[in-house]
Parts: sequence; C-alpha cells; structure tokens
Amino acid sequence: MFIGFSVSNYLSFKTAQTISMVASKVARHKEHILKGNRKKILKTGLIYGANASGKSNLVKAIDFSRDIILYGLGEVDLNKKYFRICDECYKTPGVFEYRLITHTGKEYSYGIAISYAEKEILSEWLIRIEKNGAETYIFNRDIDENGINFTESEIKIKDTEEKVRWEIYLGDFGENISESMKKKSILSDIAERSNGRQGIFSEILDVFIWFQSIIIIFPTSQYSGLNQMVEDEQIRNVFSKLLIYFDTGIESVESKLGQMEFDKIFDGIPKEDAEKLKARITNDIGDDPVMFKVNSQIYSLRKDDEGNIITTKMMQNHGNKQDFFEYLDESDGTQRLFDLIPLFYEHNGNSVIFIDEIDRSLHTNLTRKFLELFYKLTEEDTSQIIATTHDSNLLDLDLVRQDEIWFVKRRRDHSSNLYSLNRYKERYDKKIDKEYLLGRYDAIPIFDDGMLEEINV
Amino acid sequence: MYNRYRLTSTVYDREDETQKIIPEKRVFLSVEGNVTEKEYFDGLSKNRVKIGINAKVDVEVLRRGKRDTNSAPQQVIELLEEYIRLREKNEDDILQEISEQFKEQFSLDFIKQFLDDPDKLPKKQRNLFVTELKKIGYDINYRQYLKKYNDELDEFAVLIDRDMQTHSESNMLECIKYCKDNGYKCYIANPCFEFWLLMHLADIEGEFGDQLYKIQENKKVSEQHTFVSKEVSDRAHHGKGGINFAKKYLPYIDKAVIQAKKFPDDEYRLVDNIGCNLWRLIEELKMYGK
Repeated sequence: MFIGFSVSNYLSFKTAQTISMVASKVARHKEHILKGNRKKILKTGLIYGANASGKSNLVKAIDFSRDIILYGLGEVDLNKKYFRICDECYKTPGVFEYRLITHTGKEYSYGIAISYAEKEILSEWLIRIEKNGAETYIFNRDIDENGINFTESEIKIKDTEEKVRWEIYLGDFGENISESMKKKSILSDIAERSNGRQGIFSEILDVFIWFQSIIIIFPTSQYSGLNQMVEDEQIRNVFSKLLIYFDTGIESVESKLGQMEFDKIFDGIPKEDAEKLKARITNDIGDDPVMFKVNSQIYSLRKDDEGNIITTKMMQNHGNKQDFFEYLDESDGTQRLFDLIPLFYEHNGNSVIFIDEIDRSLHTNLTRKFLELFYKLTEEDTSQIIATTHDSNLLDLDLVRQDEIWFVKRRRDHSSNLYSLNRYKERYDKKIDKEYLLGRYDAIPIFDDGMLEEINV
Repeated sequence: MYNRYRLTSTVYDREDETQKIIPEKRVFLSVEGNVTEKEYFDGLSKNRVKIGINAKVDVEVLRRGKRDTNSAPQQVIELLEEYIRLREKNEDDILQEISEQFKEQFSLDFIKQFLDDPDKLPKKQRNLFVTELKKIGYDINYRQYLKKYNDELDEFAVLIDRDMQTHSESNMLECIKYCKDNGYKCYIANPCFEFWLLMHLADIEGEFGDQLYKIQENKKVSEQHTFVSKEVSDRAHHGKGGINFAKKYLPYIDKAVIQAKKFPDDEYRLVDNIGCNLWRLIEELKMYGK
C-alpha cells in the first residue's frame, strides 16, 4: 500500500511537496478506504492541474526515484532534473521520501537524498513504523561534516551469522565506500545480495519488492500486460467485454494466425541487421511463444511441429469479420484503453498504480467509468490508483472523496505547489459541473451496465 | 537516530477540521446599467459582513467604459466573456500585447522586473509605466487584480432586464440558454432592475396588488422615468450623491428577498412574468461559509 510521497528539488518541485493517501474524517465513499497498520488509507489520489502546472512531474518524480532506488544513479538521466529556475538548486540535494506498507502489513518510511552535482546518493533511510507510531531505524546512511560516509542502525540481531553479514553489507556504504556503491541504494544492494532469506533481510527484500511492483503509466507508455492477450483466450474474452462496455465499437478481440512476414516487419532496417535479427529470433523461438511489439502491434511467435514459424497477432473485430482492425487503426481513445484495461486483470490484488494523464484521449465519461470500474473490480483488494488529470469533471464528490482530490498550481516563482481539496472546509468546492455529463450534448458514449455482470475478472 | 533529509513523522497526516480554510470566492457580475446597479452591488459588497455574508465571498460588478451604454443582453454577456478571456491570459502575455516600441521605451528587463516584483523598482518609474500602459489600453492593475482570485471557485453571472421595449423575447431566451450552456448564472429583472429596488422600498402586494400590469408594462411616464423608476424615485429620492445604499437599501434587503420570492424565479418564466431572481444571489452569498 502507498501512504504518501514527498519530493523536493526535482523538476518543478522546489520545496518539499507532499501527497498523502491517509484518509481524513470525511464520511463519503467509505468503500474507498483501506486499512493498514491501524491507519485508514485511500484507494485513489486524483491530481488535477492546468497545463504546465507540474502535475506530470509528480509521476515523473516517482518514476525517477524508483529507478534510482532499484537500479542506481548510473541508470537514470540526471541532466537538468533539478529545479532549474534557481541558481543554487544544482548544488542542492534532491530528496524523495516514501511512506508505504509492504504486503506483510508492515509500515515503513523510506527515502533518498541525491546530489545532482556529485551524482551520488547522499543519504538513505529505512524506518519501520509500529502500530503505536514508534519508529526504528533499520538503517540510516549519510555523510558527516568531514565528508565521510557513514551508516548506522537500531536493529538488534541475535543470530551471529546474520549479524556479521548485516555489518558487512552496511559497512560497504561506510567510510571506505566505493564509487559504484555511492550510486547504489542500500535497499537494492541488500535485496540482491542477501536473497532475503531471513529476519531483517526479508524485511528489506519486501520493501524492495514493493518498489518493483509499482506500476507507472505515462501517456506515451504502452502497458506490456497486453502481451498475454495474444495467447490467452480467457484474457482476450475479458478484454473484449471491457472494450464493448467502454463503447469502442469493437465487438471482439481476436488473435489471428499468419505467416511471419519478416520483410514487412523489418522494413526500413538495413538488410544485414535484419538478417541477423531474423536469425536470432528464429533461434530463440522454442515451444513457448515469444512476444514482441513492432509499431505498437503485438505479435506472438512460435514454431509449429514442422519447425515453421507461426505468428499470431491481436486484431479487433468492428463488425466485419472479413476486415479486422490492427492496433494502429484504432482511435486514440481506444488505444489509450488498450493501455489501461490490462490493469483490471493484471493487478495482483495489491498494486499501486500511477497514471499520468488518465484522461489522455478519453472522453470525460469514459475516464469516469474507468475509475468506477476500478472501484468495483478491486473492491476486495488493496489496489490503489494515483492519477493526474486536467479534466475538471472528474473532481466530483459523487465519484471521489475530497481528500482524494489534489491540485497542482504553479506559483509565482514557477515552482509547483501541491495541496489537497481537503484543506478547505467541506462543501465549498463541490463542483457542480454535471449538466454536461447528464447528457446535455449528444456526444457522450453510452455505457451498458449489464455488461459488467458478465465480466468476471 | 535522525536523518536530516527526512520530513517529520506526521507529514502525511491530514488536516483536521480546525486547520481547514474557507477559500475566497468572487461572483463577477455583468450588468446592463452603468450606474445604479454598480452602486447597489458596490454597496452590498462593502457592507457584506453587516448583512451576514462571509468576508471571504464577494460580488464584483464588471467595469464598463463610461460611454459604453450598449445594454442589449448579448452585450452584457460579451462584456462578461471579455473579462473571462482577460483572466485566463498569463501575466506574461503583456509582452505579446504591447508594441516593440513600448518595450524599447521601458526596456524588457524593466518590464520583467515589474512583473516579477514591482516593489524593487522606484515608485516614480512604476507609476509612469502603469500610466503609459493604460494609455495604450492595458490596465495592468486590473489584470493583476483579476488573477488574484480563485480560478476554481469564482462564478460568473449576468443581470439582464426584461425590457419589453428593447429586448425581444427570442433574444432573451437565447441569452438564457447561452448562459446555461456556458455555466454562467443568469439573473433577470422583469421589467427592470428598479423593480428589485422597489421591493426594498415598498410593500408590493399592498401598494401595487391591483397595478401589477402597470409594473409589467412599465411605460414611460416622463422624460426621465418609467413607471417603476418613478415609483423608486418618489420613495428613495436618488440624488446626485447616488442611491444612498446604506440608508435606503441595506436595512431592507431581507424584505426585498421575501417579496421577490413571491414571484417566479425560474429564468424562463421571468421572461413573461414580473419578478427578479436576484434573491438567489443574496441567499447564496449568505450561505457561503456556513
């Protein structure tokens, strides 16, 4: 579960800006509340802001810091990521702080501070938070006033072997830290080295896995969950039904067998490279299908009994079985749904999903329906969605709670300010923007709620 | 143990009721008349706390050029939309709106500094800049004033007279629909704003119960007056000093609201029936913050 995130000195964020999923005392939409470590946690965070307010930067900050935490500073582009309007910010640390609950139900505060100038992790902490609020530093990493790296811990380990290993691991981030370790998080280092077999190591691995499991969807990203669909008929059926539900004009999603047209797929690639790729693909294919995506079209490749390569591709039936549509034939809105729908069957019951511009290419009502469907299908689990939007029609208290609504505003100094609707007294912000949604205009998609009955995800 | 980069443990706690704030809100009102309406609403605004209206909410009558007496309902909406457009512009747009010559005269650095933090500039230069800008039709103080307010919350409204002599019925209906489609509040006074004023000054049922048709016709009774404006004038004696809001109207707002409620309040019904739905605005303002 995701409880909160704070960021400072990253892109448009100058001073620390915080988003919190902790529920306030608002009585509406009790079904949006999850329970964890004696806290009430919200299912949704909807971040609203005008263009250029910085709302996308929040999702970018999560993506950026997650990459650093999992893969190290060497794997991210640090160039001009600090708050560039201020001259000193290049030399100011960027700080990313998370509050989370792992799948074991334990709550942690975890954070890193990085230096854009030195390109190293300056500080890192992992703190366990007990039900009564008591805090235990599992580890704390920093650099002292003499420029010496150090680590410390409040964890008492009885097992001698475990204790020795713990000290060795932390020691690698101490006084004699190597250049490569300066770019690495303790979290990823210990998760990888210890295999999380016991005690404290398994706790660290759990936090690491939490970061691994975050799903982040950008307007340009295509969700890889689509791949299964080509091969799995059951998933294809669910997908088809959801597409009908969302009134896309698609009647079914089919997979279509065909010959492998390497020439067409590799069009534009130098011939020699194409030959090499062809050879590699041919060799890689065994009994299990291999998935790949070219120009957004997903293919699945396998060998038949005679060793011929058979391709299967996903195509959409719009009512004419003689003429199926490819992915790129679909409207922008439908393409966006292809990115989003897999979330409904891919989520493993406790996903944290960040979506930048959830309304991109989607009609107001469609986005709304998407959220409603999300609540319905994840009723029993702890999945959460944190999404940015510039569709003010979503800021409707019939859909979300006021503590789930966030605004990003650009301040006079050009930095982004993040605050919740919850800071205002109740009632004053109720958006009365429903006339449009109530069907004043004809151009709203029609939803067939009966469809939902048939979907069993 | 302590980490200097970590925020406080309570940073993810949510606001409790005592920490919550009431956001500021403005109702921007576009009206037909140049003088009386403006005076009335300025008075309302000034005395709003006395009336029991939260100081966080206010009414602002949009300014109209002195010689602009064009009062067709469409014009009232146009005035409103011109202001909405101005509001949505970025402050930096000033650079696009002024001529190169003007930029040279004051230098780009000066203008940027002015936008950024005018207090750092000498007062004399500042004033000169503002005056010169006004001469070319750019009222920077008003632009910045408009930006101060809450984009999310502000409301836009028009107040139109159902003046049978000049406004056709189809014209009225069009305007009402246009306002509804665009989310503007539409207040209508039938036959005219002075009828709303009269509701402060007279017992409509008792004094005019058998003459309501006269109010509806609102014929011209003299060079200066129509039937209704004459009735208002006889009671309130508007002089050169204005309508004397504090004395003549402020104490009687509730009376006007009660009387107005006896007439139709639906915009479409107000096209054919006398009445005025401004009481809705008054009640809305009073409800804010409660």
